[in-house]
Amino acid sequence: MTTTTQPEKVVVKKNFDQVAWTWMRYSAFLLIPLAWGHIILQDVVVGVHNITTDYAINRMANMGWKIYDIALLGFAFAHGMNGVRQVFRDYIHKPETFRLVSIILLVVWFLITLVGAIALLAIQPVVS
Amino acid sequence: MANVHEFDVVVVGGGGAGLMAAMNASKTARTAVISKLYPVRSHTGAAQGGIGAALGNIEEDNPDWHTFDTVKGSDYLGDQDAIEFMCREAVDAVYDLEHMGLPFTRNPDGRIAQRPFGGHTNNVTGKPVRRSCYAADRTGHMILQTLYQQCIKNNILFYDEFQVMDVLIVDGKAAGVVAVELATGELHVFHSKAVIIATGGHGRIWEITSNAYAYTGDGCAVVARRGIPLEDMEFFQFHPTGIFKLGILITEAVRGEGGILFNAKGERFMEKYAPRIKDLASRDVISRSMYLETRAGNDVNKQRFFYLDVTPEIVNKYAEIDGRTRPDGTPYRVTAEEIMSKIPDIADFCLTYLGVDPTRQPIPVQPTAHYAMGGIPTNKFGQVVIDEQNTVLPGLYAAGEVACVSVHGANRLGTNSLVDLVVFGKHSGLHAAEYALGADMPSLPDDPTGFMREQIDRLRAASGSENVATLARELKVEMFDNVGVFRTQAGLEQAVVKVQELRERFKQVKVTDTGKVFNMEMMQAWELGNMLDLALITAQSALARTESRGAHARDDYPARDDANWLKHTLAWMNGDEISLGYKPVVITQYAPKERTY
Amino acid sequence: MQIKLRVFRFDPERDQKPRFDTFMMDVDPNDRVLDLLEYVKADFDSTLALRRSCAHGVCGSDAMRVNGRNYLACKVLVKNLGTDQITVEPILGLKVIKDLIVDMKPFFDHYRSVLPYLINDDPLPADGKERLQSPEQQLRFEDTTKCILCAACTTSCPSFWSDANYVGPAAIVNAHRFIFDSRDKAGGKRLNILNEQFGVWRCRTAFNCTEACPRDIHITQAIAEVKRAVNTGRIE
Repeated sequence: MTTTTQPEKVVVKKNFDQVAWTWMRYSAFLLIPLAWGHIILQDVVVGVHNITTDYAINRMANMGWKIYDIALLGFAFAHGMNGVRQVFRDYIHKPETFRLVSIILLVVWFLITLVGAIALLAIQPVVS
Repeated sequence: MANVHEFDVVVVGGGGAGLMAAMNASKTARTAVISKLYPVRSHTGAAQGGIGAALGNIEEDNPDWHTFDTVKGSDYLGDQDAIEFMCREAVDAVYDLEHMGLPFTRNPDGRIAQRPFGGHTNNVTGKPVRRSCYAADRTGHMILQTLYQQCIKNNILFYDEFQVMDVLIVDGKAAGVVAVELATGELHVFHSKAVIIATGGHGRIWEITSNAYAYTGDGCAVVARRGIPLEDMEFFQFHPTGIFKLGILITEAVRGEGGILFNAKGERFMEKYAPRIKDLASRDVISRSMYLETRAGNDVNKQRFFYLDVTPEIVNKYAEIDGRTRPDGTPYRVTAEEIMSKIPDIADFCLTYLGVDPTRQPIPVQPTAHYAMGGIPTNKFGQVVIDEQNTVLPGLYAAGEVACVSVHGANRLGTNSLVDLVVFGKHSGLHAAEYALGADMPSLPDDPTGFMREQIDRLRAASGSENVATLARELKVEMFDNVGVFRTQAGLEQAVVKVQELRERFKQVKVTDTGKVFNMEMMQAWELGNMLDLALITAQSALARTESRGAHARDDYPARDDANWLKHTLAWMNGDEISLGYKPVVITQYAPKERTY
Repeated sequence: MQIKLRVFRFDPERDQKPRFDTFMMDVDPNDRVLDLLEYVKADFDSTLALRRSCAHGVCGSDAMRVNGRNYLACKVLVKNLGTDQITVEPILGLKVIKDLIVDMKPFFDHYRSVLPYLINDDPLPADGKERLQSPEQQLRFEDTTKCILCAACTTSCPSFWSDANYVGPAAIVNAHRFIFDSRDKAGGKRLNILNEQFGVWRCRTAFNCTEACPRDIHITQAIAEVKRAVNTGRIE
């Protein structure tokens, strides 16, 4: 009698809610080091007392940091917007209304991220 | 005007027998199941110990031994041809259940696990044999769920929460049933060629019972009112181990796992009454032993209960004394964990209702009204037979606890009820479908719902000077005291008089709920009427039988009297009169012998 | 002991709105809440309508809200509640028909939707005997076989309260029972059925179901195992 069973493999078609659910977990995991990395870098490595406006602007003028922060914005905000979508799910019962609200949330995410990206890209180094 | 539905076969009752019947009938015939409960609420789900079949998965066993054990267990009142049939079919019945997906507990080799159970023996050595196939201590639950699942798979049509109140018989043939739809109060006529009654037992007529509230004997009462006799009603099993005062069942399997019964003096009293297999003797023997111990003043706190001890210390101590071994020959020793894994649901009951952990403290137990050996008389195909010559009433069938085939005779062995359900449920379904396909649709009577409406109207129009709860309480106490484990002439006579009085007073019960939607008050009043009728039949049948046999134990006639009483009782109800008749027991292989354990 | 029992009442043929009836009674601390309701019917108001059958926690008929939480009325004793003020109401999320009786049809429809039966079209063993299954394989899904379809879990679930289209914990539990049964071959089918917005993804791991289950089934864990199987495509 076999006592160890080989796991059965099945084909499960991907579903949007499945992807969204899984993504929320992975993104939550990633956000932790990203956010902590940001805090540790600024508040510990650089030092809280060394953060001045000039320092902030000069840091944001760096393309690497621009890209890091745009990514963090888009990523974290998407996590948040999907969370808001889940909250709305409990209160909106008509499927058409919910689809509309979901699309609106997507558009809001895109616009805010876009505005944020533009703002970040536009930052010029301080000339002293 | 009532709603009329047409079917080939209509099954009344959605428990194990009803669902098996429906699954088999529906293969070839248009079938519907009508149940006053959602099928998964049926009392089959309360069965714990297991389903008995001679698979021989752990040790040698065969259906002939199972047959003899059942015949002996029935105190030689069982019809041996039907018993042989059932025990042979039992093996396939269990495999069928497994194929349907039942999650049996398994042996290390992957086969269905089996354990010992009261009254089941190796006929050569006389020692208990492992015949009970089980799924933890919830075998009945698993059977009910599995059968319901298969009914869903096979698209069986259900009419859930419909109370059948009358059976239609036209020109001596079954023509259908009529029912009330509980959710709306509407009346329905189910016009069919065959009717299979599978409505279960009637333990609720006794004060302390393991039975559900639903067990009010509706099927028996409905056919009795149509002039069909009921068989062997005096034989009602009192299970020895019900939780003290509550009556909730503690399965025999606890004793199968090594539990021991003790009296107030700490004695293993079953040694006196069943010296060979002691605590694994069959239920009537143990209930009677408890009664005798009570009479001798050995009951705990003089409150008529005893202790069932399944703590590892006691189990191991007596396993050693008994020389009990595991299948591989090693001595039988258990740990608390093993006991918990074998009887998890029982442990839960003990904890919930008594605050007792059975692996640490003994469980207080007393006999509880448990199972109806008697009921609607049938042959082994489930066809209802209506007289001493076993004349068939075409188209009417019964299966499960409501039927009396008779495979349990005067006392039922544990694990045989689940076999009964599956085997006779299946065969009554097959036979009814075959009959229906070859028969014409009978005509409906002129006013099919007439009798049903009459009963309902009577309950609405009565004076109201009597009330259901009071009558019910008086009935149950009277039955438990005088038509219980031990009976006497005086007690039975008193019971008959009392029940007649209660039936008279019942005519003054008025239902105050005038609504149609879920009028549970109306239904429960009607159920009380059923219980009163069955109580009268039971008490009269018991009064007439001047012997002790199986579950019918009389102080004044303590011995079994085969010369005069090796026969089945038939009881007809004619208004307030019960008339009795008798028919012979079918004996094929085993001549009655003295029954010792 | 003396208790004050408030019972939800609603007669669809008479009442516009539900009401509460209050009863003062003398009871034993070991009485089940079901016993209290039966006392009400016997001694105060015989029109009280409720479902009940086995009276010991195996049939699942009498799931109700007692002091705001889901129980089987026959399994909760007065002394378990720790108070002499007892309120009994019907379970949430399903339409009340009368008094403590709710419409169970949506619940059973969800149950049926997950193919809750063994599917195996492979030939049976040649000897006609049982399909083999090891004790370990049987234990894998034993927990979810315990479900009695009482609806205590589903009607304690906030996701179900907000939207009754959610298939609910009970349906997922019964799907789990077959997905993880080594003898069943349609695990993939059921995973696909549950892999949608009203299926398993509606579960927010609130754990109300696990708390409410009178059979002590680890429901949230079972749902999580189904989610994992959907994601990994592996049933183990």
